[in-house]
Amino acid sequence: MQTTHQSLRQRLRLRFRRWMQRVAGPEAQPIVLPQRRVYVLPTRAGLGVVLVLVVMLLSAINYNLSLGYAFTFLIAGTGVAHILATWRNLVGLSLSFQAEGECFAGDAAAFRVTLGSANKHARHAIQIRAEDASLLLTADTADSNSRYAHLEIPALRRGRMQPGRLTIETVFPLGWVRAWSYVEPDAPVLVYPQPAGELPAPHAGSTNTGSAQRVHAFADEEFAGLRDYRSSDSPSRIAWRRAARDGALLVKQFDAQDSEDWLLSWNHLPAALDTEARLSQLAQWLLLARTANARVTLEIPGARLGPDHSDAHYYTCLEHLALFGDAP
Amino acid sequence: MNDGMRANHNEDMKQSRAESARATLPPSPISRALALQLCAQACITLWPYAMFQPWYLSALCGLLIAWRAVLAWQDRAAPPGWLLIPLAFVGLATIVLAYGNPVGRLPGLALLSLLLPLKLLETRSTRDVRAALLLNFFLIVGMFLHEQSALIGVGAALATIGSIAAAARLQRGALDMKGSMSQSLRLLAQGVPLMLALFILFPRVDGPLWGMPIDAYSGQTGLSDHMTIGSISNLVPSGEIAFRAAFNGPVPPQRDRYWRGPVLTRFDGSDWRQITAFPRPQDFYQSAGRSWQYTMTMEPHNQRWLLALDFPTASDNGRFTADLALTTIQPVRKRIRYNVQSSPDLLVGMDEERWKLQASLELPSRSNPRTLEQGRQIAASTPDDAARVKAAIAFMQKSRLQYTLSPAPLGPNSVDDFLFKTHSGFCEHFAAAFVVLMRAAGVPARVVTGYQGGELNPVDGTLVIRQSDAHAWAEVWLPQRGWTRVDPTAESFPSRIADGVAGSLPASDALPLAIRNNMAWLRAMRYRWEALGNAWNQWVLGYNAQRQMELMQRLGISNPDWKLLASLMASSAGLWLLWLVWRHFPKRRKLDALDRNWQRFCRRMARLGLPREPWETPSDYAVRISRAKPQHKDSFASIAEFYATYRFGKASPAAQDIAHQTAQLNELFNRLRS
Repeated sequence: MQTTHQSLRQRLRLRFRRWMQRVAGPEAQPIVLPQRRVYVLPTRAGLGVVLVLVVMLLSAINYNLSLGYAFTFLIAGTGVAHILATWRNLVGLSLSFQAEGECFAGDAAAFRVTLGSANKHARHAIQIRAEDASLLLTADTADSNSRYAHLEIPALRRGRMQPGRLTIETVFPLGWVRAWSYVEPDAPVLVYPQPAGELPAPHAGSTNTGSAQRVHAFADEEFAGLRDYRSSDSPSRIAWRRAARDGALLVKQFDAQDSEDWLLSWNHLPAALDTEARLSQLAQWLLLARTANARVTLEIPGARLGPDHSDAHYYTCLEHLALFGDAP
Repeated sequence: MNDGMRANHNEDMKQSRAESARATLPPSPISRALALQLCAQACITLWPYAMFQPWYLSALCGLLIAWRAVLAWQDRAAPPGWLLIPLAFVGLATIVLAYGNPVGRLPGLALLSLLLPLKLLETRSTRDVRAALLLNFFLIVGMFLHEQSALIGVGAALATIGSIAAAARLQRGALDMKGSMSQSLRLLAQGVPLMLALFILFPRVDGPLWGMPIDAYSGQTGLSDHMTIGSISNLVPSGEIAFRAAFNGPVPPQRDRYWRGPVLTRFDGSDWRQITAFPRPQDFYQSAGRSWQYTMTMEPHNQRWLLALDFPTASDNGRFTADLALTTIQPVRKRIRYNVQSSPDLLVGMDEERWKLQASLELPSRSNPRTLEQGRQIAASTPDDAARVKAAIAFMQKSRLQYTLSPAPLGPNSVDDFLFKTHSGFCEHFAAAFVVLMRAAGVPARVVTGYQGGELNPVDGTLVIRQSDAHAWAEVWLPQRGWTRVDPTAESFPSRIADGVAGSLPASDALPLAIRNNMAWLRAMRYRWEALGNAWNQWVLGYNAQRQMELMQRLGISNPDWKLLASLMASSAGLWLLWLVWRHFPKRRKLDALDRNWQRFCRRMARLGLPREPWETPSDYAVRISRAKPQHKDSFASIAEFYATYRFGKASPAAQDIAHQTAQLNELFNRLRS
């Protein structure tokens, strides 16, 4: 009973939020907060100030304190002016979210947030909260230029994921009122399956759970060329001398001739594993293969990829695992 | 994924979220800089209190603040909570030591001023800082209970700026001291118009809403309603201002500036007191001859009488006693203003009642035998009352009396001692001796206390009367003239009236700096300062229900009631809000003709399915749409070039160029339509 009640309340709250937000589904970027989407209500500190002001006014009346009147009205006027300043701090704020890096389920999906201003107004102490009200980020735009900030949102499940409904809020400058707005940015990130599984890697000297062919064992890798750095590359492969010379981060590539061949097959996995566990195990192996710079062939129902050992191939494989079946 | 795994997952997730939250937040909301700013802020808020409180209370506050500042400086935590309880008891004990009891206005304020350092000592969270800031606001109003001078006003303004700055800094740690101050000033500046409007329009209430503590008016000085020898000379060392008078017309000469206070008739040998009689109606005397109209601004003295020049005929405040003194029903406990009219040449008391004349002749029979004897001699040797007055003055002039602030002590027969032994006295000695002498000679006489003189402030043209101008003189009743003023001090020492107290006293007498004559620059500075003080009193502190009414009437509102004031208040607050919204509302950049044309072009192209991308330069855009519509290639190129040349170049387009381009656009749109 309690739980249904709870869920009903949650559903109502969600619906109310949807209505408040006045947007359906993910929004195109950059999101510029218009006036009608910024709400303002006093905080508890603000109510405290109101109470104190009432007491101040009463004592000014009772003791006939001219200066008491003056300062009560001054602080009250400042409070009202600051409501507009707080509102103004949010209106016209432009936000865009961009997924960065790779993300596995169970980790946090990283986003780069670009905070800018649709006009020349500087923004201060902007906070971004997740749906469960936990604080993700506090940022400023000191002047009209854009600022970058990074936020992480936990990725629970594999598949396509959006940052979800975020609360953009501020209590600056005085903290007596809170201005907030809801955004739901369209910044999809692909969440790969969580790498997990105890099974040994199916490389040469094959086991009954997987098979692999070893073409050249432990041969020296042959240098094949340079390519641009990607965030997933191992630091040991960066051409540091080149980087020191002209600042460009390049990665050494080695010829595939020297690599092992790994066959990662869905069908070779023990029957006891369910779909998610299988995907996790395959992802685990893919990561191992990449560390070993192996040529990988991935076999899953409906697709056979490889053999290849380029980075692009690894990502294609991970993508297939992420979107396998009825993933969102 | 099975349930166990998911649970595990959630656990990890929470942890990672907690970590990320920790990473984005500073380790403690109260940074060292903020804690130090709060300590400085507490000092600013509390310094006016140091002027009114016993030093050891302020020292205790200072010690606690210093402790907190040192802890903050060394990045050490606030002391444990239990330590505050004994500290609070020490504070309470100090207050009881200072004031005798912990209840009342002064102890209450002292308690409040001690609460702020104690709160700072236990400040750990954002909430604590907010509470401390609210305490600051309380303290700002609290200091006005002590005093409302311009100086205290400045102190309160500083405290307000600092409190708002600290609140801003609490919200944004990146703000430094300077940044938070400028933020605070910006916000306060926006609040000032509302403050002014509400200050003027908020309906003022006279009198308290609830009872005041008994000690509310201690420390207000002035003449008392009875006189013993020595009571007036006690006032002279005080340079404090008693009241100010602003004349509507010429200022009366020095010899006419007798400010009438309590009239004392009953004498029991040492004490002079008023007699009680029915008050006179306001218009009992019509002004005749010369007449002065002026506005008095009286400092509070916690007594019931007001002052007016001899002889007041009309006043818009208070009522006249039978002796023509002006009194109020309630003691004067705050600065008040009233308008008075006086006629110096009026004949008063021609119809005086017999019993009062009788009372003006009574003398205690056993005291002052030598003076009584002297009076009888005067009565025997002169034909009428007027001659007796002259004879008494002559007698006193011959007695080689000394005018001094520090007369020799007198015995029980004080008048005898003064006239025949010590020969030294102040104005009350002269007045009392003269009245006793006259009564002994059979002439009805009484003592009048008040002030004599006053100093014209050249800066704002008001007459300033200080406690040091306190004076006592005599009135005698003559059958043809009624009550006639005789100033025995002036008769013996004419310089007392001509040059004020400072001119007639021997140089060895201690006088306050404010009333000394020989420091011209000091005087000039004092004039300026006091004129400022007067303006402050008149327009800021003295702004009460009466002044509000006057101001409204001057603005053409004949009968302002609270409803009208409330609607005026609401409309001015509304105007202010509009101004604020206009100030804060995001403004659309105003487009010039060049931009308007360009936007029109882009909109038209967008309707054709070729919107301009935000990153495209005009020429890039023209190239792209030319590919889609090659037949208008030349038009596109020329429109884009025209815009780019003038928008990003230095020259601005001539009116005919714009008109030409508008025509070109119209022509292009026509072609597109067909």
